[in-house]
Amino acid sequence: MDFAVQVLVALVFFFTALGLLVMRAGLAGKIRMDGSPGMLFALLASLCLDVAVSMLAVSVISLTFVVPRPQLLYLADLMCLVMLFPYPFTRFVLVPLGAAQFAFDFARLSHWRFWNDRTAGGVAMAAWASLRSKKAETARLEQFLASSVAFYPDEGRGWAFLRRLLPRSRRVNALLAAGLLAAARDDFEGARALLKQIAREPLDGRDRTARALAVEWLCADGAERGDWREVMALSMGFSFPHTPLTLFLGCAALRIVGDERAPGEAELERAWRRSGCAAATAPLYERARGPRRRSVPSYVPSRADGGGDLGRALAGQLALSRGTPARPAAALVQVARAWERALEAPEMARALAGRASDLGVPTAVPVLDEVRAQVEEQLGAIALRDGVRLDDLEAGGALLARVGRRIRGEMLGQLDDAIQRITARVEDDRRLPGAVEMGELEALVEQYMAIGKFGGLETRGVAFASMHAPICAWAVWLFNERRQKRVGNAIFRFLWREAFILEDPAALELQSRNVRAGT
Amino acid sequence: MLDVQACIADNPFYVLELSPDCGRAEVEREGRKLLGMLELGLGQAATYPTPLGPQTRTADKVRVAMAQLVDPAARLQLELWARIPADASILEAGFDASIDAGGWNGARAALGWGR
Repeated sequence: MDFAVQVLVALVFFFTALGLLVMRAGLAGKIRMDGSPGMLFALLASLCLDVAVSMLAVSVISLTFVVPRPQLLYLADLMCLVMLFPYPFTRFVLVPLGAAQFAFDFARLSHWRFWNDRTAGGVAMAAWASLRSKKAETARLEQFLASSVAFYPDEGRGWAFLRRLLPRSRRVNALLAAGLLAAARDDFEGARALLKQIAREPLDGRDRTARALAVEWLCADGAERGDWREVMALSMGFSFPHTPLTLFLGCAALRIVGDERAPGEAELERAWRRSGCAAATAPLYERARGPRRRSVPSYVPSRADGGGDLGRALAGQLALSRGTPARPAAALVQVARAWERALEAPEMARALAGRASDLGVPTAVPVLDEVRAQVEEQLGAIALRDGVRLDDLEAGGALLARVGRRIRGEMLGQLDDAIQRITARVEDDRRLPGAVEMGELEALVEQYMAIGKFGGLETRGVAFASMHAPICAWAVWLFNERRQKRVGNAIFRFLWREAFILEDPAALELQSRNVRAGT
Repeated sequence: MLDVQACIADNPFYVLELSPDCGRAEVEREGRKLLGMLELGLGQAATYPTPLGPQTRTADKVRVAMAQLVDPAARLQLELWARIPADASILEAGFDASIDAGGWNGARAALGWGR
């Protein structure tokens, strides 16, 4: 074929395909999945566009084989392949590059992977790309997700036979997207909660990709936290399809935990080689292959050279004060137990009571109480420094449980104070510049997230319940009266995100409407 | 907050090198003796042993120690810490950094799920 004709064919192909793709992407964003006749028309149109693009792509590729010197057509072939397989291109090229916008656009073209929830699928892939990029910009994606995908007010309407065409749960892709957005903001607790919700959604073959990606993230997260039992359970669960990487992580977890079902070395090596990222997982492979290590090291000396229980407790405390150990929770629990042994020992109480009597002090109880309070205060400070969570403290004995309850109470009290200050300002109509209002929001969110990080989802839920109404009122005031729509929207998005994570349907519905109103 | 320095290193019983069940007169006698030795610049009074290792003794520390032991309630708490023998060592206890941390630090990033 003549070079000029090749150029012409390539250009015609390029612009036709571009036009079709723009139409298809636009349509994907507009389809309301409500089982209505409009949805049927939009889906048929979308399908026609899919077929047209695919036929065009196949035609161009076929042309390459009949043309004697198809140099330019090779380029067109490459584009055809991308259009025929948008998901692999997104996952293996755009996501590692961190190209969130392109990932969003291309993933939305993947009918096969994300079925009729392609907008949420697009947001999920964009969120994944954001996870990989140095500068995660999640606000716009979250706005898009909150306003158009995650809340489906049309559930149950439309034609019944059309509704049957829809996936059984249309939340799965949205949950994946919201979970990955939370992870991109480093809110791993929230991400974990959202992705675990996927397991409770009704199974549907059309959600395979979202489920596989969710379980892969959860396994990577479990590996990072050292929760190998969870990795093991996730990789062996039946409600999730598994990627080769998930299967390898499961095998490694079985060996690390020392489970009787642990695979042999050959099977482990096979799983490792098939994992798709053998180089990155090599350290884990070596660890899983090696002998089982001692699970919890000893952080308190077995003897403190004649110091007794008190000496051991002080020795552990001193070591903790010097720096964060490899396993902060385990170290804190061991030191706290050493204190309990030292301070609760009957001999200690007897000896102090005897000395109190000798010195003419009515009782030795206040002395022990004072020491206990000092120890608790210091252990609390170390727990906060090392990021030890409330559930670890509660499982670490009476002393640490008291420490945990005290910190939780203080944190919730401080959050209440901050909320009351904002409420009083709204009631008194004391106006601050937009940037300062945004600063207030950021400080409040930081305080709230610290509570969630320490107390887990349950405490986060308590904090959310106390803050939802007053903070929503603040946002409405900013949005309607102050015309500070940017800050108001940011608050609505934050409340929507939390309602989604904490599974509060009433708040989710309200905040979805608010976010949509601000779009 | 628990101040290990105050509890152990500056504990009056270690400063005065007395046992926790010593009497008031013994405190006075030992205090005066140490003050005298410090005034004369005798080397053997310059330091005292504690479970945190030898500490420097000064005249001020000795006076503070004598004063601290006047109040029986305050003394009772100081006695609690002084139950650890001065020749015991709680300094060497440390964490074994070579022990595996359990988790795979940086797993999310290594597996393509983080920065």
